[in-house]
Amino acid sequence: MPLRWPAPQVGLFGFGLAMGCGQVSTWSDPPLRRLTPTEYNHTIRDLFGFSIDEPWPDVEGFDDNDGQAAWPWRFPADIPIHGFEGIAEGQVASSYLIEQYQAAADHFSQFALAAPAFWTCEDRPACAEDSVVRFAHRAWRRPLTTNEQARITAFHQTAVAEQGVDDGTRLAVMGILQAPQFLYRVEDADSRDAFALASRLSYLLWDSMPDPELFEAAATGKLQTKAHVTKQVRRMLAHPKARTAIVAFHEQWLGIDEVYSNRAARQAYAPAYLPEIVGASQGGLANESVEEVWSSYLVGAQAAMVREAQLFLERTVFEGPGTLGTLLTDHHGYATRLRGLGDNDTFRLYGVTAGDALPLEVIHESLDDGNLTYDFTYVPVTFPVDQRSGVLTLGATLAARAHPVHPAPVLRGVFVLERLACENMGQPPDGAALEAPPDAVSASSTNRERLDAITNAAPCASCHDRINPLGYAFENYDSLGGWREVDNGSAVDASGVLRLTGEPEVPFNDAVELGRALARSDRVHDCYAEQWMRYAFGTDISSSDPTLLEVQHRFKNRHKGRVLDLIVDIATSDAFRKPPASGEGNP
Amino acid sequence: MILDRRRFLSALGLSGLALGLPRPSWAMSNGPIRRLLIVSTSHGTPYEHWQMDPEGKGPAGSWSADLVPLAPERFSRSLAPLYDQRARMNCFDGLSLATAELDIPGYRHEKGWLHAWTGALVYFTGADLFSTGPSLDQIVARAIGRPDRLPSLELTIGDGRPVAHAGRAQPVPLERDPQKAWDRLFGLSTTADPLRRAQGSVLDFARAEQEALRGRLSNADRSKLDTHFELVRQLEQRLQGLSEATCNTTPERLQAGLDGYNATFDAFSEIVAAAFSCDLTRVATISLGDLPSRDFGWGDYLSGDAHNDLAHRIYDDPRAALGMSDYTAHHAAQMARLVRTLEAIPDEGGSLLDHTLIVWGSELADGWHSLEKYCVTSFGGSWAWPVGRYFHWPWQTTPIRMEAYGGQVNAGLPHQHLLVSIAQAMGLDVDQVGLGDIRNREGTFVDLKGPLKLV
Repeated sequence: MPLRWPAPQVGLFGFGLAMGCGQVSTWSDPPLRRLTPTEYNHTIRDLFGFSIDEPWPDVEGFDDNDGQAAWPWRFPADIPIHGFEGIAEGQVASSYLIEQYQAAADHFSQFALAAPAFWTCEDRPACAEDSVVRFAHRAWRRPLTTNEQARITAFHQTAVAEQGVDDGTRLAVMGILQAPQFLYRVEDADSRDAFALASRLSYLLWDSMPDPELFEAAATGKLQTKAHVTKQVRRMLAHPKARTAIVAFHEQWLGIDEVYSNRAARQAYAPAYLPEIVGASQGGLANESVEEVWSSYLVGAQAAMVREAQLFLERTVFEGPGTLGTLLTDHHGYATRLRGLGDNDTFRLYGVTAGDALPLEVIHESLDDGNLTYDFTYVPVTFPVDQRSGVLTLGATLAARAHPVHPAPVLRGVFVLERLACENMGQPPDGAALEAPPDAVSASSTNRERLDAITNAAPCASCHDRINPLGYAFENYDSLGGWREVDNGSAVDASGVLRLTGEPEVPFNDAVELGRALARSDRVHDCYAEQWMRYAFGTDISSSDPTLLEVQHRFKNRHKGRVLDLIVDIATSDAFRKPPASGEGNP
Repeated sequence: MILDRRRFLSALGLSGLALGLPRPSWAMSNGPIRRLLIVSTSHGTPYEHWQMDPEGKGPAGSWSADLVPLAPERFSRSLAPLYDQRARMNCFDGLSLATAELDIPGYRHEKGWLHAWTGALVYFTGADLFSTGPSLDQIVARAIGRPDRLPSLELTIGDGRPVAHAGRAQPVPLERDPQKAWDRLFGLSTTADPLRRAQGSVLDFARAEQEALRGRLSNADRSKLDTHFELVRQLEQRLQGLSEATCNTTPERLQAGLDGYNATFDAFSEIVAAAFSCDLTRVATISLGDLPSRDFGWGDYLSGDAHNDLAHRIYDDPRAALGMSDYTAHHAAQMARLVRTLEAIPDEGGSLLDHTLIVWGSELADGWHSLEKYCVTSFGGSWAWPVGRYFHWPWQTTPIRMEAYGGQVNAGLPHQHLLVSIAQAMGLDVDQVGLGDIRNREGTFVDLKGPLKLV
């Protein structure tokens, strides 16, 4: 039975935007996906055969002083849908994007001709045409049709006649990089074959184009059976590119980047986390204001939290038990020593010391934000077992959902419900935001009391009865994710009840107990599988879709929540390997 | 979280302002074309050396005063070079970049230049700071631009800040090379790089591939590619239109790169004036990076670094404040030359300046990274508002706490109101640019809609 795709909502601009539960019907066409900015840049890098770590070659006429590095190109981002890039509905073309494609094609065409993988022989005039055809084949990620090859050859010949070999060949490269076969993952009636599958696999597992071995498998019939595909998927998951891509999925799922919107207030948090600046006079800090020193601390701490999250995710998925349960409950992680403007760290924030460090590799990195250079040392640590619970209590997860002074239980509760349990809470009614309690240092009650006072009454209570308790579970964590036991003089009350659709209520006393409850929840496992399906197929999947149901069943029962096994299941499913032909079922 | 419609439109950079805006009435008639030129400088200016009180009305209250009768010695130190242009200029005194103060921590330069010209919040990816909405120039360009010409032109000198944004996370690249700017505008209609002239054929090739694919795609996929390649067609139309445009005022293409800041500024002024005059574009932005301190006579002061030795020290060292005042005056002299250039070109029964609005603002209020007391000057625009006026609004009346030297103060009037006034001056029917309101740290909403109330 084919995978059932939800119908696009007829609406704005003629493309679909699924708006919530219960509003999907089915159709049979997989959506056309454009390369995301990440995929475009990774594809260019692999297409040219440049390595991840080494600088690109110098080419005549290119000057990286005018703001654009050799690589990557800075494209406008996809609009995130459910937090994910690469979802077809969030990929809207704009004039600016089109100009950027033209500029990027012009830019990268210089490097194509300097790439070791481009020319098929030493004598450029003799093999320019062969080189262009081979380039197109790899750029478009499948063999060319006869007509395509004829059009490319004709364009190239005309261009060479007018511009000479090098410039004519550059023009052909620009055309190939602006054609829909490069920019989009076209799966028309002619290309829905092994090569299309090879691309689906490589963009899912690597965020990039297929490598020679995968192309070879597609060309020689070695992607025809499930066993063939399984073998390739296992091989690809062992490649470092898979680590980057799979961590990137989790970052989007958890909204890790949102930590950069954290605006923790100096008055509230400097006494605990940067006491050196409390009471410092203007003159004592040269030309920097106290506020700017605090801001610099936050910038460094935010960058550290993002990297800590990436390291935790990679280690847990690839080197630990690798289960969703571990992701939700593990009390191991990373803390950071930060050397920038003053010596700071996130050890203080998490209440750990160097003595809690695990005997794992310590990682050193640096960041130049244009104003300051920071040096980071990431240290694997064991957090107090009653204080931290996997991705739920990462610094980045918590600080991403906080007001400047007080943590934000509503944002944290909605995060758990929507991202972890796929419970769509919808939008608050007009004016709800106006009712939110002031976020002031001088508050005379606890955060929980203030929010309860506003949301306990109807009509707010109908939603906040479910949202608030899950947010209160994190009241032990301040706006920066630091541990606290007291809020405005009163002991923190982090207890509540988890209420998920179709499951019995589960009481908890704090975030760690909530983490355990979520790790046991079928709905949370189903949701995680659904998020992966959405990401893999680039669109919303009906919750009754048979492939989804089977993937969810195997994830919970057979794989015991192992993430990599879930990915293998999705990538080797009939629906992923053999999507319906274009136009089937289409009116 | 699923995107709701408002957030979705906002994410597209289309929140009401850019989508479906009717063309202004002047663009529908045979009247003169209107043009907008935005000039954004760096480091703001020390307020005390910029502000004036032509009629002695004092800092309290909202008022305006006539600049024309003012004696030269009463013109402020920073604006003195513009004395002869005073009948064509306006000063806006009493504004603030208050919303930037409420945005993410740190990055005051970046927040400043993003808020200044978009009125919107910023978006930080961890690597880059972007706007969450389009900048004023792009909003206006979409409403008044010609499809067969450049919708807008973006230029920069030195490390000019990226002030033009097409939408959320869509910074528009700035051109720093007068030769390339010239090529973009006039090159296609004269002779130019053969690779550039061949771009139309490259786009034709890509569109032919789309045509060939069309019949093999589902309706939905076809529609998606049609949208994409319609935009490619528009790009081709612009390239074609520019290649066919004629322009009697085309300046000479420079034969070599320019070293000097002033020389580059004047070259850009000529290019913009010619582009406006020949209707090659109707909107331009010039983002001016740090002036070398020797250019404004302070090269021997301390290490000669205007940013660290002068801008950062304006409250610690009275001489540094004078230095930054001269920094502003140097830009004022450049603006005076720019205004004269536009005045000298005839246009539809008047001069080009009669049909152009020039707005000069900055990325910050001052060199100490303050976001309050944000000083803006405009020239031209006489079809839309009175000129030769000094507009003043009282300070510290908006309930947003601002970092100020020596403590916190309330903000001046949020500058979003000025952005609305400019959009309306260009004929756009809008009541909001960027944010429509914002919540302060005490939890109260501050309204940002509507134009300035010019007394």
